[in-house]
Amino acid sequence: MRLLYLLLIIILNFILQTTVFQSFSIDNVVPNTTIIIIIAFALLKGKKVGSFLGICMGLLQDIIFSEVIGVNALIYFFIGYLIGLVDNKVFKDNSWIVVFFIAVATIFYHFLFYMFMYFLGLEISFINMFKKVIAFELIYNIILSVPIYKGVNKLFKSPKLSFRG
Amino acid sequence: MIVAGVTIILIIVIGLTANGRNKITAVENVIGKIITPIQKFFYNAGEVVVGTFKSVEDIGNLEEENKRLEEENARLIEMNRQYEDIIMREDFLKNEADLIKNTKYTFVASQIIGKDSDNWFDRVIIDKGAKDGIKKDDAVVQAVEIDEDIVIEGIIGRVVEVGDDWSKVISIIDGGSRLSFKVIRTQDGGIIRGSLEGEISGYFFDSEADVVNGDKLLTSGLGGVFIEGLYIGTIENVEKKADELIRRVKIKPAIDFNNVYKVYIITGIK
Repeated sequence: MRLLYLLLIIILNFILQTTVFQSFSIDNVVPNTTIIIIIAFALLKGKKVGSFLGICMGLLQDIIFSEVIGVNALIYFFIGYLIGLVDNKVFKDNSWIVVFFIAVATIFYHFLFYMFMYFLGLEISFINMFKKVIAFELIYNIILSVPIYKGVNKLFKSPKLSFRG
Repeated sequence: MIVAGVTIILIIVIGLTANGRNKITAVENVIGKIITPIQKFFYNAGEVVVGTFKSVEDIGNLEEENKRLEEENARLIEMNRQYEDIIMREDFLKNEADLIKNTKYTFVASQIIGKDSDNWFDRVIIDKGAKDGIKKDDAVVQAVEIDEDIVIEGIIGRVVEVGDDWSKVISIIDGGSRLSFKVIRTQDGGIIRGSLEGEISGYFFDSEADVVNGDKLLTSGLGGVFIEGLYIGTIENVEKKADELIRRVKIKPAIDFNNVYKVYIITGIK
């Protein structure tokens, strides 16, 4: 049942992000809701769910849009896994923690992506990438991160103590 | 342990798919078949939502005493917008009709149903595929008016992968896209590439090329990927540096890539 919910979220997010959200782009940059959802689940549900979501969402994006399969899957997988590692080590109700992780993960994603593109033989100016993609997307992601995190938290809150087994 | 395993598998997949393939796998085809019709629906819904927001913005700032006036104003603006929409579309439709009448190519009309979401590339999904006769490397075009009453195919991009009823298109402003061109006036040739910022720039093969701002460019067909004679745009800026052996140019594309919606794919010659 929980798997079904996750798959639904993966597909819904992908469809909305590639279609409706594109209409709300600022200077052609759209928010990366994928990364926010992965981080929200990784923080709340740990590394297993985080890395599973990462790999599925990344693969879907790779299969539909890019010629090379696996780049996004690998990066999102790492992000989901690494952030899932801090599950139970941080105070999760603090919104600043979420903002911090979103910022770090967005930058991490683009650096890793840049590295892959460099080794796959695509010349892209590093400074331009930083100015345009990272700066805009960072702001956009940070703005959206807290509402999405709170939403996921509300929808998927598991009871901490259960006496019914 | 599992992490290392997954990483290795993914890196192998990246390695296998990195050099470009002629056919996509059955799995990809099936996933595309399921996802793309839903995308088409939501993409069209997105256009409608934004249209509604825009007309709501026009109404904004309502106050009690001039409500009636504002409403009338809004109604007039809305009507005006609709008329403008009709006029704009008439222009566009006229271009399309002219193109179809005079062209020497056979077209497949298609609609964009999704855009890449990672902010790196300008890639789109269209709603036609192998079933409609589309092949890898087919040119994707739209009608462009270059002089009065002369309508020609303006290049948007090329098909990189084909599913049964969907295809991936990479646009010429994409950072990974290369295109050889020639200047109509002097027949000087060169190569241009897209970039992350959506600008097109390039250089001439001949460093003594005689070009000025405003010269019109066509695809030259060199390299065999794009067919010859598709319109690219005009030269915006020529850079002349004494110490550089090549002459750099900046190109203003004829097509507004933010507002592409309906496209044509060239499948052959009549």
